[in-house]
Amino acid sequence: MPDVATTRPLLEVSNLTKHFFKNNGLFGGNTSVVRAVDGVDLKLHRGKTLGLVGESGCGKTTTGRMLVRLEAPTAGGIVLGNSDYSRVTGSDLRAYRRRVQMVFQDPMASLDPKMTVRASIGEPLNVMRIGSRKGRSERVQDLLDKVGLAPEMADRYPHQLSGGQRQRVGIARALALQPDIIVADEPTSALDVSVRAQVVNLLKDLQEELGVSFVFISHDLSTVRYISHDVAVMYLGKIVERAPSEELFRAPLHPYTKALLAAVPVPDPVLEAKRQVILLDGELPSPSNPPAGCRFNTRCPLATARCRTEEPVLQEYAPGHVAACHAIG
Amino acid sequence: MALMMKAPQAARTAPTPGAGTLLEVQDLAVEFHARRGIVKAVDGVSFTLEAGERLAIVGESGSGKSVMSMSLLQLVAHPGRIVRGSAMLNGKDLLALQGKALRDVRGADVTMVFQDPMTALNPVLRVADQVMAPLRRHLGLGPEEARRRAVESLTRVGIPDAERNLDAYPHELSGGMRQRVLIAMAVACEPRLLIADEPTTALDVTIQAQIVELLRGISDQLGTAVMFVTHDMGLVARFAHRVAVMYAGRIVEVGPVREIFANPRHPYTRGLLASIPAIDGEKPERLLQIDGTPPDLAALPAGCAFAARCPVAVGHCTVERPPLARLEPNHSAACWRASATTAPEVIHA
Ligand SMILES: Nc1ncnc2c1ncn2[C@@H]1O[C@H](COP(=O)(O)OP(=O)(O)OP(=O)(O)O)[C@@H](O)[C@H]1O
Ligand SMILES: Nc1ncnc2c1ncn2[C@@H]1O[C@H](COP(=O)(O)OP(=O)(O)OP(=O)(O)O)[C@@H](O)[C@H]1O
Ligand code: SF4
Ligand SMILES: [Mg+2]
Ligand SMILES: [Mg+2]
Repeated sequence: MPDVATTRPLLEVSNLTKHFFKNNGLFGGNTSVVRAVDGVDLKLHRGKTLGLVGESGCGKTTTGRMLVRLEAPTAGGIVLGNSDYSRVTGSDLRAYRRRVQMVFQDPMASLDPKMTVRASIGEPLNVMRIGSRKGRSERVQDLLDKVGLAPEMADRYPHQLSGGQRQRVGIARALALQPDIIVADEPTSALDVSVRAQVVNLLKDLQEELGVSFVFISHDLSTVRYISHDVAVMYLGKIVERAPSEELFRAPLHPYTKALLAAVPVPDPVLEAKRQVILLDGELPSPSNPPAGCRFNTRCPLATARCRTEEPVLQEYAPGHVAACHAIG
Repeated sequence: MALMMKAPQAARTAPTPGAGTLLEVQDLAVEFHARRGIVKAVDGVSFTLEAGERLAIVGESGSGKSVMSMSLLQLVAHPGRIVRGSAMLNGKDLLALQGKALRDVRGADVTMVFQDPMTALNPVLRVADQVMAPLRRHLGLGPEEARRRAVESLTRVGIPDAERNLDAYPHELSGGMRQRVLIAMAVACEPRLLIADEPTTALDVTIQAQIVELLRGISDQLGTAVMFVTHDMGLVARFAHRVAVMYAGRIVEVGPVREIFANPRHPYTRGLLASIPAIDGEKPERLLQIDGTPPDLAALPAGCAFAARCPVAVGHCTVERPPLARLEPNHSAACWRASATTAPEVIHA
């Protein structure tokens, strides 16, 4: 039994929503709304990892950006400890951002091309004026070592690094301020499997050592399973299933989760050759015009008439295991 | 902790379609002249690709996979330089083409999907302009026809609401949507060779499966050869005929996919395959990892570049560099102990 249900979460997000408004220009002031994130509830516990998976374009990055307050939510609450930070500004916002850091999906875009690795990693320490100059420099060395970058990398610029090396710089940078929470958006997808194993082991060590919590966004389901305590599955701006990690992978309930798990390619060419991958067909819906009823109904193999009119809500089927689908039961 | 690797089983892939050699790369070398010395990013790489064949390139981050891929289209950024080698495609050396001949090949005969979609797309141009440009240029289509084809291509790679998304700017798309835009552009002109650098990393597996089937169809039906870089061993198992493993600028092992998975001969390949977490079954306390860091490419050690991290290295390994040697008719490895490591091997965590 997970202890998760009993203790109070470190971070609690409710009805988190982000709508992007786009002016089409064509027909004079006709705006369309992209419902990128549409009412998401999440809980993150101290020292735990929440995996966030789902369709490409379903709103994971947007959710992550709202969690670190790089993006202002259209609606919803973000409660850390005792305070709601969803609308704070100024020094409250800075304090929040220090405690909640992000590692980005696209490391090239998130590093300053004119800064060396050393400067990039040291920057948050300098900005916050943490430690002596010597202490900061030692901390940078230590961080480089922690993420498996050789010391001579410190003087390089981002364009002189491989994709994987850049991603490790991003992780070191996020760690610099010893935050409570790191939102990591595809932190390992640019890494080769052995470096990925190093980084995953590193994240686990850091969690044990420092009690830091992670939101781990990834398409790599094997790694998500390995590193997460809980996993939430998103589809078109909504959470469709959430469960303790082991349970989600062993007994998925939602048809989208099932399709996702069934599509994971296994590193065994003999098995793969024998395997028939069933593609989800049907129309891919768009977040600017989500289907009525269940948002998965256009691609769902189990969809009935009810699914096309009535939106299923999250229901609990086992302790801590919720899913939103009319066909479970 | 020690782990016994599974004894290899005798699996063989069917030979790839004998449509003849499409691409022959010989002794390709790319260097960066940096202040701290010469970085040998690609250090003498040779391989061939048949029409319709799908070759996966895997290996260490920073081992030169992207630089190698980009050099085939002469796209290595300054201060990188191709210093040796040839890449013959249909009697033309891709590395020697210039001017119009080079532009005609790029985007038509040979197309590329870059690792980093945000830098590959022009941020100030709408998606439509970028997708339609090669269609107009290489296929000579008019604006309406090009737009129709562009919508069709985006739909084929699973971009919803293609009409609307064509008019979006790149930053308005999710990471995976940008990646699919690049794939759509790369296959729209039906190239002979598609070079794809981590084409599906940013995609969820249901969309990945759809893209894989699309590429499989194109390579089977049109004979398009696909060379793709990936870190996803599941994708290699599902999609590739052959796999080449790179370490420190060189190919250290190459062979048919089944052969490499069942009987990896280079200790780096073995370490790589052993560090993948499984989607089911027991979860280990820690993942196996290969300790240490790869060598500085500006100061490569004598001998084997993997020696310092290798669990089975012997004295000779730090003296002389092992050549890529043939072990089976089409399975080669660059390791002094490749023959000694055919038996099930103990790797230390
Ligand atoms: N600035 C923006 N303006 C308009 N639409 C946007 C903007 N940013 C994101 N979107 C849209 O919001 C949706 C969610 O995007 P997001 O990047 O959060 O997806 P994601 O789940 O991270 O996908 P991926 O797995 O591909 O990275 C997409 O439809 C995207 O096109
Ligand atoms: N402009 C540059 N100056 C110096 N070194 C460079 C430059 N660009 C790349 N390199 C080096 O060349 C090597 C090969 O880089 P490349 O991007 O090809 O690696 P990769 O195998 O694609 O890695 P990844 O899997 O992380 O994408 C790296 O060690 C990198 O640091
Ligand atoms: S509610 Fe209906 S359409 Fe939605 S996932 Fe369940 S069965 Fe499929
Ligand atoms: Mg994303
Ligand atoms: Mg690369």
